[in-house]
Amino acid sequence: MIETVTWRTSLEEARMEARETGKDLLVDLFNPG
Amino acid sequence: MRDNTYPDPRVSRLINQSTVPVQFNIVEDPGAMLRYHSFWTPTMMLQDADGVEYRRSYGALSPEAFLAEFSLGKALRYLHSGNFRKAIDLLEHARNYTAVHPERNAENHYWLAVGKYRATDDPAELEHGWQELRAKHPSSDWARKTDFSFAD
Repeated sequence: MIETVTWRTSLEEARMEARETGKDLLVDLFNPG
Repeated sequence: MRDNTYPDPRVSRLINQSTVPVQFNIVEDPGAMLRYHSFWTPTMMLQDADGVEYRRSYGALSPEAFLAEFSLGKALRYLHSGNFRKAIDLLEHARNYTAVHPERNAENHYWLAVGKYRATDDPAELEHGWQELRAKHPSSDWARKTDFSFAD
């Protein structure tokens, strides 16, 4: 089974999750065009 | 990135294991470019939970280039926070990824020597590591940064 990246879209929720899990944030800005 | 790099299982596993990934579509959210002081996409940033940034990359990265950038970024995160032993471990491991990217491999050598020096306070660690860098990547920018240390 291929593992996919589960992107979050809320910075505040991502930061909260990062604090709870001791992880860092990977922030990606992209243009879909 | 979306089609080739993030679906790569080596990349997705590394991202999921050690980060909370957050993504902004700049067409739907044009303010994201201003918030992050960015001017080009894709922009990839490694930050801690407080928003302190340790690595930034502009432009598309192949899976191999992403792994090298990401592993250097993680190591720099621990150099910045003073956890030099963890940084050394990560920089040793990063060599698996930077080996095929001469400039990133040179940077890898540079910071590994710094990490060992800061962990031990032994100047010989810095000199030895930088000598290795200069031997392996003599024309790199990172080797030039060490010139002062080897000047007569």
